[in-house]
Amino acid sequence: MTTPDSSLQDIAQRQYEEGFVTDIEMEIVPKGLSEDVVRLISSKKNEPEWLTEWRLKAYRHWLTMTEPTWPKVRYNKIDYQDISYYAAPKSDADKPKTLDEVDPELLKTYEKLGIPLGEQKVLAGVVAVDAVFDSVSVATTYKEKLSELGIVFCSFSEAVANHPDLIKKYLGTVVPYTDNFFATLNCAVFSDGSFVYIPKGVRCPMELSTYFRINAAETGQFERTLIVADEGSYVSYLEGCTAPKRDENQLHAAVVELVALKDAQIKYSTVQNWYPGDENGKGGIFNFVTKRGICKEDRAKISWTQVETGSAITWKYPSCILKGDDSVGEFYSVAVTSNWQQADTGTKMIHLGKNTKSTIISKGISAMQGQNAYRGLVKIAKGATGSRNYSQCDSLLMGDKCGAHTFPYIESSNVSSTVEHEATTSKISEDQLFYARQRGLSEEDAVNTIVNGFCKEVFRELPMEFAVEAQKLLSVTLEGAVG
Amino acid sequence: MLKITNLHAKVEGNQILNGIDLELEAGQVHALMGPNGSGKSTLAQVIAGRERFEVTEGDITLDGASILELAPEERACKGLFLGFQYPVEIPGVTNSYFLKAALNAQRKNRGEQELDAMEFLALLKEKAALMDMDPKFLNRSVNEGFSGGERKKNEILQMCILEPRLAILDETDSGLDIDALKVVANGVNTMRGEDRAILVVTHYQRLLEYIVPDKVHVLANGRIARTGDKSLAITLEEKGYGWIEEEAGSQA
Amino acid sequence: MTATLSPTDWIAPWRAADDLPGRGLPWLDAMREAATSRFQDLGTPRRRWEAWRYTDVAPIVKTTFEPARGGTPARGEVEAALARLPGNGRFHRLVFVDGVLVEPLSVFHELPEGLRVLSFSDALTQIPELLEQHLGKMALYEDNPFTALTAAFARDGVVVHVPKGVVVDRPIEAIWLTTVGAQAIANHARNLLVAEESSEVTLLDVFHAAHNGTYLNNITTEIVAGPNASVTHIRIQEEGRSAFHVADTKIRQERDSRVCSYVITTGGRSSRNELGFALSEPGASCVLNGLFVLNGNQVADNMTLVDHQSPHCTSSEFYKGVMDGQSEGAFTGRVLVREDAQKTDAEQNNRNLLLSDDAQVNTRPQLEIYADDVKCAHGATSGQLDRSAMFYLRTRGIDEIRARQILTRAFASEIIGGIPVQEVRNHLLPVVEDRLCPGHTLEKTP
Repeated sequence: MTTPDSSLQDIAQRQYEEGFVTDIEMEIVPKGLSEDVVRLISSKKNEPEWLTEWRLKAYRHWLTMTEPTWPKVRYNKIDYQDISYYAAPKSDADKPKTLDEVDPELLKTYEKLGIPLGEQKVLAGVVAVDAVFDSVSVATTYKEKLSELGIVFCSFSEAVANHPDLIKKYLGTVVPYTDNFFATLNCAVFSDGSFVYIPKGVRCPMELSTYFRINAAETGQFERTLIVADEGSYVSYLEGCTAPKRDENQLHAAVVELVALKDAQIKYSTVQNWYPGDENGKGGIFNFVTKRGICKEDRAKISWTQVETGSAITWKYPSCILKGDDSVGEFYSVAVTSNWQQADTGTKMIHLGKNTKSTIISKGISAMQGQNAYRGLVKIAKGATGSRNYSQCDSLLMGDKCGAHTFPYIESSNVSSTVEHEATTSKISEDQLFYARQRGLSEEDAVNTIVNGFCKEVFRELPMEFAVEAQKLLSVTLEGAVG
Repeated sequence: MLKITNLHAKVEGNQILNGIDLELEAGQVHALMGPNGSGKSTLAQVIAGRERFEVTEGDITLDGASILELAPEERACKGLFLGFQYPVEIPGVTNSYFLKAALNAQRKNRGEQELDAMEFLALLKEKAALMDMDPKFLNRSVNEGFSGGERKKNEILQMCILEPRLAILDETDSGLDIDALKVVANGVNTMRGEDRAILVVTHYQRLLEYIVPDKVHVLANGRIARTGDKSLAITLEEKGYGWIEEEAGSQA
Repeated sequence: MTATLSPTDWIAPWRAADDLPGRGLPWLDAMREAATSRFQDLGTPRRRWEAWRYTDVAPIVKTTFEPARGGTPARGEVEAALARLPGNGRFHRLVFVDGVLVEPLSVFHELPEGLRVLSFSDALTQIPELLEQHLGKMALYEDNPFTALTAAFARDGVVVHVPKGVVVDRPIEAIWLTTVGAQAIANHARNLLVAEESSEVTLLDVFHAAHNGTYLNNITTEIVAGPNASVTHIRIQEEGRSAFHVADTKIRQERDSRVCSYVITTGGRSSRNELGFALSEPGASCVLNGLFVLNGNQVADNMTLVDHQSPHCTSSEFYKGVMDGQSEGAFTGRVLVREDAQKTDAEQNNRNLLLSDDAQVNTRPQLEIYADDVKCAHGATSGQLDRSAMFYLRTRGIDEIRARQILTRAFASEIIGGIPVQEVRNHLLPVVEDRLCPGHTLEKTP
């Protein structure tokens, strides 16, 4: 007979399904970081002078910074000279224009990932995809259809080349190059990423999507995403991530900046499934990501939804700066830590404008030796009259070696504002499993039912395609849990 | 239908059941009483297959076949229902979803046609009305935010839907006001029938005024100390459990 | 009335009194003596005591009080007051005037067999053994000077004994009417309710002033809920605007028992409500709901404790405050989950509405959890009326005062609507509205 604890041990046996390595020719910059490496990356991307200078400013600033120690995560010191800061498929030298030109190995990789990159799939579906493979954007689909509406959806490098004004205007305005250790590092060495611009009054007719994959060994991934939604526009953006199994830890330090202008709305969803390391805690991605959006003008809305099941360590706080009056920020998160995974994640809601509203729903699931911390700041500035926040943080523990921690910070300098915080911690208990099984459900169905119930408020925020994927991911994680 | 012979069980090294013998025929309702800590709830959970109890000796058979090696869900599919003393919350899972999943898992196992959403809903509404339950409860998460009385009613509702052949109701009357007790008793009484056996585990004699048992067993120190008819319950009401515990103690 | 009296001088009129009931009962004499001496050791509470931080105790201890010794009010005025109170006609009713039971005003319908409903002084002669068994066992006076005063000087109160299996279908209502004139009086009273196995009972304490004088009601209430018993306790505090009110209510719950407490505070210049639950056996559940509606210079402090001592117990707490004028409200909610209390389900919520810029609220949720398999949730909010809702109502032609009133009533009615006695709900809604917007009471909702 199994007990939930012993069957949870079996999670360790589950396979990381995305853990294959793609054997294609890569161009990798030698390990180490210096001004020369920064210049080299910039020149490889044919960047204008101002951008090279911006990178260098960031690099010099980075040298003065120290790695943060306040997150509730533990890891061995990272040797920043032992990482390669740029890896690209060699074919990048002559970048593919259409999918036909893409290295077939690469396409197979995406197929394995189940990413609908094939033209038919894209046409049949409603998803436009930009795929970033080891930092370099390899293909963006559905581009023409979008450009008819004036929507720009391309790799960051292309945007630098084709839309330099937009990049210059918004790059670093939400996450300045001085922001924090990992963001600053990203500013210096970022290799590629996605750029989206939705013009005034346009409602983007399909979900835009980027899939990130770290493939090469001993490389770090430093992509950047910038989304600008002009007045009255709407966009829903999806991001997915995977990486091969490797014994060493790999660093992923990305930056995402969102800018929503008057009456614009951005919905940003992430399903993060980087390699979490093996059952002994060996290997796995260090996911140190800075994501921030600004509701720059009145009645703008930014909504973050994330399902974090991968990575050895996750450190990210998708945040909203609510500057415009009546603007709205939302954060919905499911974070799962199993085996030796650690997560310190949450959000910051900075209320500056009047009558701004924010909602935070965080669901943490900890199993095995997993450690899960919610860290959230709600700040109501003096001028943010009539603002409201509602936060709800629920933690679910599976077994007794894992941990859940909640660190809410509430700073209110305005009496007319309302801040609500609710928190619960509960255990997926032998009682619950026995109760469901006594009614006739198998143990596996019982666990799935309980966990999906726990995450329901977040899953319903995800676009349909992603919700299915997220549920599948969770159920894969839990398959082992029922032996 | 249910036959328990010389059942011994322990949990975390503590011996709780010390040789239970009990037989329950189809069509009968038995009451199992006893002071706190006598092993009533343990017995109920052992019959349903709770894994943290270890059966060290004896057997439990259902229709002549031992069920000791069966998982809880396999026992449920054989028609065994346990009404929990402390019904468990499952946040985010609606009552109706849960019940439909359970009912169809059992039907599938028995080779019966699974109910579709419409058929199930009709069945659910009918039974909820019987239990005097507001239909809005059906769309709330299983037992979450339910009062003690609502949880107990919900247990009986589940029993009415799952239509078990053997129902064990573990202190379903505890924590109920008199009005709720009457509703619960009514639900149980409508389930009485020739093909069904019911074992009512209770701490309070009051319940037996509303569910009249064919037999009353009194558990003390992990054994059946006394078996009698309804009058035994009345004797207990007057004299308390002390004399039975003393008797059981002197035998041990 | 100006300089603060020493504790000894403050209680001198009681120490001199030779007419307290129960003289000659050795256990009672011993308790009165020990409590008197404890009060002198403790002294009157100070704001710097953590437990008294938000109680406006200074004006109480600066007032020289005479003992309340009962009164014989003019008939008309008492009846007018009684007619306004909830249980007129249907409830079992005990009327205390200036701290002492007035039998002719009290009403007893046919009581179920074995049920005893008595005044404290009658109970001391008729069922002293019940009092000896329970009095002072739940509400300890060692750390609470005001509870020491009721232990030392109790003159009257309500004593209810519900035997096993008895269901009391009409609520029992104790009305505390104060009719003082010029002299400030203080009433130190003790209530005791013992509900035996599987019994059911509802007790109301209603505090009401016939005049707007200065007085203190200091009431200690102890409740024992036996196995599977069900008890509802409703406190309605509508003291006069110059009155002080201090309450200490302590409840012990045995196996499978249910206790629901409703505490509604609209009156008093300065008041304090202390409420403590000990869930001492498995399967017990309790509800603590409260509402305080304050204006002018009122100060009200609510101190609650739920002590989860046993597994499988449930507590649900919901307190709401509405503060207008320069009033000051406080809520302290401590939930203690002891190591043995696995499978605890504890929920606490405090929501406050500030109707003016000068009003103030202090809220202190305190969760202390020593068991690992529990479900605990808490929430706290403080804020003003929802501006967009206000605007919405006004665009529909409702003027500002009325819009404010409608929204505030909606806020308050969440607590009032949960009180399981129709007459009490009907009584409270207009009272609360009158406190919100004097003279602007809305018509009753259907």
